[in-house]
Amino acid sequence: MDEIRVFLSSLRWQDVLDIAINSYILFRLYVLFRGTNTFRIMLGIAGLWFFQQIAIYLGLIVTSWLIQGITAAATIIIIVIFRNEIRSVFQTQNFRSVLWGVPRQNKETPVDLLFDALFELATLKVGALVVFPGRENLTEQIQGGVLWNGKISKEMIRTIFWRNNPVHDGAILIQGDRVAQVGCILPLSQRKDLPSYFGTRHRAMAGLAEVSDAVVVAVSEESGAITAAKGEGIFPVKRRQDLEQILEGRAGRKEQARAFFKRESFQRRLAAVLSFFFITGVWASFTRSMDTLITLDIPIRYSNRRSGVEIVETTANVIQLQLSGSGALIRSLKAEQVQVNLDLGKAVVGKNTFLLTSDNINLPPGIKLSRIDPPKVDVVVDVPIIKEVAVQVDWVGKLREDLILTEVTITPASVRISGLSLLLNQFETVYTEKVLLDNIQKRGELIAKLAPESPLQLAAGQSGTVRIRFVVQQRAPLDSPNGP
Amino acid sequence: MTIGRITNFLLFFIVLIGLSIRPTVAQQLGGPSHGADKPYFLTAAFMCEKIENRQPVNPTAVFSASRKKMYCFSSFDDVRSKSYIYHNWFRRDVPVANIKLLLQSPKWSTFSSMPLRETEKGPWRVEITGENGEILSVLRFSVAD
Repeated sequence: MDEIRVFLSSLRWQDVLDIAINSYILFRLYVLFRGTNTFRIMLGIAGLWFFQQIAIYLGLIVTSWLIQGITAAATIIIIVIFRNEIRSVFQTQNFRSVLWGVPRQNKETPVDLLFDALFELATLKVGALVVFPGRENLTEQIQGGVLWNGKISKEMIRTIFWRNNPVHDGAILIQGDRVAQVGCILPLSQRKDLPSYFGTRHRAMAGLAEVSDAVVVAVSEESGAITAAKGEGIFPVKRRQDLEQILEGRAGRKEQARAFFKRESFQRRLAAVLSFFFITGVWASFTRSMDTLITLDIPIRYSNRRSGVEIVETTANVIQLQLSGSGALIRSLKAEQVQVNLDLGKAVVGKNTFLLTSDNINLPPGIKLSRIDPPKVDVVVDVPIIKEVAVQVDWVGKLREDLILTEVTITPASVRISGLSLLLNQFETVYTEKVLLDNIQKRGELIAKLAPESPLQLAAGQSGTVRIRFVVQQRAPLDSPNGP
Repeated sequence: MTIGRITNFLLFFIVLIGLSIRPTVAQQLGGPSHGADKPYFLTAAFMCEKIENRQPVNPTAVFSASRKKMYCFSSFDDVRSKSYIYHNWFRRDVPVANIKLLLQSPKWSTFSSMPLRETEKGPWRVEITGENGEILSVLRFSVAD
């Protein structure tokens, strides 16, 4: 359950849209191509893809490669060979019906057409036997039969029953607007009350009608008469209305139509569900595999830094992440989608060592973290402070040899400087600019500018100059001119 | 005013004057420190060109690099027991040397020295600290031509 929850939580809206679009496309292909040869080949290609995935999972390299090749070839073949069928599918539909709706197929039996065909056969004295099934399944009663599945037309009916046709002696089975089977053998009636002129064809007509709820129509080869049997009854058919009337009363006709539409609706829903699951499976195989690696250099993003806290030094500014995921996801991955976060909320002034874990890394769903380099980062943080330091004169040059500088007083003796604490801790003094000794002859005073070493800064409100008072005296003679 | 009160008044002034003339011999750029609980009392601290007879000669705030050495002299009073102090030498805030020096009871003068080099011109300071690092005095000076 946890895995499902994690999987669902890792879904992006793009993934949901991706699956929805492709499921719908697959479903539309089913709706448009159902019943065509193209559709059957497409099912075959889907099966090939399924086996390819199994082969990949099992590590069958050559098999998966071979199936991949066959799938690619089959895709091209389907377009070339069935181009006319594909074209006809799209040509017969308008753009709206390609995207939406279900092409309604006329499944009503064309009684007019059938009567005309049977009337023509009767005129030509060609025998015919036609079965209109009711609700009951006729599989037990009908034997033989050749699958035909042809859309009803006068020409086709005449052709089937034409004398030299091998299947002309059998019955044809009508289902909706199609001739489902031809050459069907029907059970013969054992009734004694049938007219003596009833031959085998008429006995077969009566025989099936007796044992089922089907309506069976026969055309006599001798007389050219059209006769219909329904249950125990035998009815002459002289006009179109006669046939219509008999067929109208056929048991389960409406139920059959209802069942047909119900079945159609169920098949479409099933197709929609299967399309969704199939595309989800394809999507998962593309996006959830971890077969591709990528290495990205991601800059560290510092968060929760307290006011005034500054980062002085880090051992790494960029972290190298090795990520794995499916090829599709890795290819679409952008560096901006990956973040390395360091929480400085608990950082103290000085050196802080952070061990980087997956908690510090933000990744898009479906991407897995394989390696972090470097795995730890040292961050030196500091806070700005103000510090009081002494002022010292930076004497340069040469004092006259007979003089000695005995006393120096600086006003102010100290100043405040501002900067980061770790840095300021290294400094105890601010020096003046260089003050020349060469011209000093006697006690006196002068003004000198302060010259704080970079990056020291005088705090706000501090004067940049100091007054220096100095006292010089005559040097006491030493034993040696160069001192002891 | 009774004689006793006058005596107390005079004694107060005598003590006051006595305190004011306590030897605070010219601290060049830093002053000696004293705490009641300290085992010694820094009476004088000088940078000088020479030590002669345990006394500083030519106290100065500027040394010529042409000379050989510079000296830091410190004098202590009321040394209760054998103690140690430090002369910490810095050039431009960079530590150069920490010199440990012995103090003996009851008075003691001691000094440390540093060779003068052409390459080490610029501002210097010596921090005189106690055993625990407490600063007793800071002497600031320069090495010039």
